[in-house]
Amino acid sequence: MDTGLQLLIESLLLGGFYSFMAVGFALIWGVLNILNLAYGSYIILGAYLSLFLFRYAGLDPILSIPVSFATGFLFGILVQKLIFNRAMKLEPFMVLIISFGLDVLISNALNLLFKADVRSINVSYGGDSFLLGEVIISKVKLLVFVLSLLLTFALYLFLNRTWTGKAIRAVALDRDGAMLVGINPSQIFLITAGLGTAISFSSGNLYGILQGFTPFDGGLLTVKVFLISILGGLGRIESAVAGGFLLAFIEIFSSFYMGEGWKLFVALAVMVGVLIFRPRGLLGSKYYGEAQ
Amino acid sequence: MEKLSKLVLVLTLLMYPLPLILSGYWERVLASVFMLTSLTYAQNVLLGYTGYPAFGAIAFFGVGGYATAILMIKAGLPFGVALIVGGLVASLLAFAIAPALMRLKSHYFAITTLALQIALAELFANLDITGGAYGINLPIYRGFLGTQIFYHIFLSILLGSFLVNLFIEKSRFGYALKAIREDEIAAESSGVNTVLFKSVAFGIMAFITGLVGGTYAYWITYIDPESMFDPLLSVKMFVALLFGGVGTVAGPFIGAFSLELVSELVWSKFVELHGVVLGVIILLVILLLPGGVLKSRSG
Repeated sequence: MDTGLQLLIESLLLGGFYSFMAVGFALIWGVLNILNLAYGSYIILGAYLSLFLFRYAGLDPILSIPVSFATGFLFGILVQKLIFNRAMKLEPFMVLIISFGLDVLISNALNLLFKADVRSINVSYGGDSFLLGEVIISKVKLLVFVLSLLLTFALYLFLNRTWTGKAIRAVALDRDGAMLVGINPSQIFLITAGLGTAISFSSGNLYGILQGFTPFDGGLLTVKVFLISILGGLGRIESAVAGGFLLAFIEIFSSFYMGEGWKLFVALAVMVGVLIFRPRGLLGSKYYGEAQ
Repeated sequence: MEKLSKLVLVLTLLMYPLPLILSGYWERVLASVFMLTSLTYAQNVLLGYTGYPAFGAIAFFGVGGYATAILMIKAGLPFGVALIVGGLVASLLAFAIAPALMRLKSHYFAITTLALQIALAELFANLDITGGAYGINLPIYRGFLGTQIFYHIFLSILLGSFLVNLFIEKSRFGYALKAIREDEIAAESSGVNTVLFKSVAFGIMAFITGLVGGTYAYWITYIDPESMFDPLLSVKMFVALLFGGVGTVAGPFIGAFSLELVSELVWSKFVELHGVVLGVIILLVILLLPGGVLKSRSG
């Protein structure tokens, strides 16, 4: 069996999910200039929500994506109104600390509710896989891959074809210019915060069927979406997708050839290099926060 | 301000004989308060006076702790020597990376230091010399004063870092740092070697942080990447600094004492709620008191 090909396929499948997972984070960062360190905990919130619906309403995690999306949207707007609207008037660094406080709050609240045990959502199609040529493909991973791509593409269409989507991109590029043409930035901020959080919650559903989770997994996920945003750059969906696939390649190949323990270190080392030599990322374009 | 600084100095000196009457429990609580206060003073040099938020500064706590432990265990150095060398290792690392790192501004700087912290934690979890994910066991200290010695070491680091802050507040060196904080380009054009001064400030911060890490390592006698690169400790020191007042001499003392004592009281009463309460405290401190209890004198 060709190991290289198998690793390549694994990276592609994981990269699709990573892209979708990170796209909300990159959107919030690019438009609101908020680096939300609680984003990973949002994903975990979505995973627990879908676990809850699966257990008590018998709803499949794939079918409950709309529920997670809607809940996340409302949650994002609420948090934006209560916390981040006030925080955005402060220095960016204060916003970092605030979002970390939110992360501590969410993960510990989940720990009170669900305890620290590893939970998993055991869907009936969980263990299946098939052979394609010489490559083993897990059905769940393929399903998650396809859904991630579809959802990311839907977001792409929304941002490029609808008025609201274009307004979001306009605010990301030039806040003052957007105001001049009649766009209300504070409304766009709310929508973007809602949309970004909705994406994080929905990717929680997918995360939950891919692997087990605990209340404290959010931190590592935040590091990952952050890595993806830096590697790919900000400002465009394509950047998050590029970053997502790149991180997946780095992780899969370095953990195979160097050992599981090294994958995060390798990814971070690449990222520090990117930050110092090309802070915009591979495909990053100009966005409002950078112009400040 | 002047009076507050004197008060801090007197209080600090008064705490030296306290272990004579304190219970073991309060001795440990105060030692951890001193630890947080020293870390906060170290951060004040960089964020308060120079204006650079090193969100991952706890990386140097880890480096100092690991260097001290390795020098004691593998090289057989006595604790005192290992501790100083450990602090120097942390500050040399900081000094070496500062010119590249400090080209970045605001949250890009904050996050790159955070990446450094996580990367070092991952590196130490994989190397043999650091004991991998298992970590390093240190011998229990049984010499002069017993475990009380750590109370005194932390208190002395606190005193030293307070004096460093006082010096920066008053000296030409401090004026240069403040000039960088207010307007780096203006500082550069009026003849301040900004790269050098920023790097020195970064190195001082790392030295103090490394000393605290080294003392902590010997105090708890067991270190692993998770405890030495703990983001929660990092955030606690920033919240303490922001609560007390950034860029003031008394602020870190006030902030760290109130935060750690409150946190300790909550911890002992509601062990389960501790994390939730800490999260709420962080949110409230920043949202309600963004300038801190003591507002920084601008300029």
